Amino acid sequence: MLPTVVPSVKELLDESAGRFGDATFIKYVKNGEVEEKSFIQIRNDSECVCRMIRHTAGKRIHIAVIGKTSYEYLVFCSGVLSSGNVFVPFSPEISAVEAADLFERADIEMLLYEEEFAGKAQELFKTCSQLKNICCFSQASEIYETYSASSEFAGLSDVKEDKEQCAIIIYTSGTTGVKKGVMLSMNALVGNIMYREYCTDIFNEGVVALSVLPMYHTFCFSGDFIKNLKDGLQVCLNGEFKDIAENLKRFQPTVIRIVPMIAQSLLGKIKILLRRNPDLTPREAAEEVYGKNIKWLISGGAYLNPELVDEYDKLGIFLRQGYGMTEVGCRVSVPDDGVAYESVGRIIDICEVRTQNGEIQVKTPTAMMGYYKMPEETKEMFTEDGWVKTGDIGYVTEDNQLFITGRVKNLIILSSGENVSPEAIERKFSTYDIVEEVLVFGEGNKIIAEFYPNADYIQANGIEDIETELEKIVDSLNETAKSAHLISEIRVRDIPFEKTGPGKIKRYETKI
Amino acid sequence: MMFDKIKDLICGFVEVDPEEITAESKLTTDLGLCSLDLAMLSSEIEKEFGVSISAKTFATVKTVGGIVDYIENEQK
Repeated sequence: MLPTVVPSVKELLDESAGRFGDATFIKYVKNGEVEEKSFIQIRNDSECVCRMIRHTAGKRIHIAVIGKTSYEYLVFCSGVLSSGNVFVPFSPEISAVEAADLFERADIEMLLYEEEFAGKAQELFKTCSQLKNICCFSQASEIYETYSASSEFAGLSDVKEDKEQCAIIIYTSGTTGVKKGVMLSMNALVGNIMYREYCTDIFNEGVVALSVLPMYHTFCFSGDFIKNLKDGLQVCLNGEFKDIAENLKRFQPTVIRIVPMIAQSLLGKIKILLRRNPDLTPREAAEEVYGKNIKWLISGGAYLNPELVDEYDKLGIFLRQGYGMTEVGCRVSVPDDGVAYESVGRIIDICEVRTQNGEIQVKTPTAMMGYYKMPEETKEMFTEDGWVKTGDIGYVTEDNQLFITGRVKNLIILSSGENVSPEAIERKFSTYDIVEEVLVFGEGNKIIAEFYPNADYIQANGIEDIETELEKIVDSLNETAKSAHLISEIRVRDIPFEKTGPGKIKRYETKI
Repeated sequence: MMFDKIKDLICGFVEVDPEEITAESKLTTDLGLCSLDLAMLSSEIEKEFGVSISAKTFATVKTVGGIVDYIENEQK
């Protein structure tokens, strides 16, 4: 259950400065040298930024923060969150045109940005009439000096916080193309990390985490920053993706939050090492790539192949996933020992989960306040009795494990009324090398699987009748499938499917 | 030779027979390099040749030969 009083980010910074003091919280590489900042240091620096903002703004405003993950980025984010204003993070890759549109929609009045964004920041300052102040992270030293605790502005960091007010607006990509600003209160943002931990051996004081994902994503900001701040972990900032191999060796982390692609890519490196050095044990090869202390990989953001989980288990690395969405404050379920490889983790004690017509719905005190200025879209996200509609299909087991099997919008509803998740069927083909791509869809009362076969495999194995080969696979899968999930027709195509984005096949309009 | 060195570096990320890598081999579709592989490859290339290749550049430099041309151009 959620504690009666949830701390704010400002209170967390204070508490952690008191508990962990001069211990290192943030480590990063600057000009080739490793720099360290303590829990006290980040609290003090954030207070300076908080004072600068309150002095400059003079009232409660919406503040955009744009930058790659860096110490200054974290200080400026915490400064905004401590100041009682509304923090609105954006990707540093955002174009000036998109930023101008979103700034207007989000009522941004101040912009805090990294140096690389300076050109776009100046352009936005000229074109966005409501944008009144801009400040570059490069002014940090000056801010720390001017707004120090001994300055005339010292009192400005005493902020009376209303934790039920909107503290952060996070723009999610959305499937319709229109980005929606998820509004979370301070209680929701911090409350979401106040769950009772299942794995008590991981989030402990002094444990080293490597932060590789972008901080403007909720999964990373909530986990790598807010949660690690509360638990007293040491957070090493990777900086750019290209430096990951070097930073794994340099920082020797125990835990890393990742997306599946990272686990897949680094497993490739481990396999190559093993092939080139047959004397190495799998664990030794894993330590060559990930460092000697690696124990946990927490995956989120995309489907995690159970086979990958299995391969990592054999390396002595616990790769497990959690599940959540910004609209519920971030997490719904988290990794735990003993969960099935296919599970997306165990549901946390601050979330209730139910299924309605197969859809996972969540009730939690950390749910969003709504989408900013989008009442219709907000209404669509909630059921009448206040549960968040995730849009995902799945189920919950008796021991509280959550399983996701597909998306509601992709659901095949057969004329018999049966609901079938095409993704769950498509996934079964992932172990067959002959299948390069597959799309499952419904027509009338039939389920059809359309294949784009792997030409190299066919050639290498001298397969002449591709359709018969695919039929054999379908027959074997049908033997163990539920009657409503039987594939009754296969089609073979000679060109790849049209894609909507990286690796995502564009689904057909339903023909039912 | 630069081409051979690039081939070696690529073989550190994906299991592919170096003999099968040609100048025309496409980085993602033929060799199976993902965006993280490309990012790490760019770091190795920077160490080896002192030339940085951004993610955006990889979107236009699509082949192994393309990398060689890009580095040679940048080194001029």
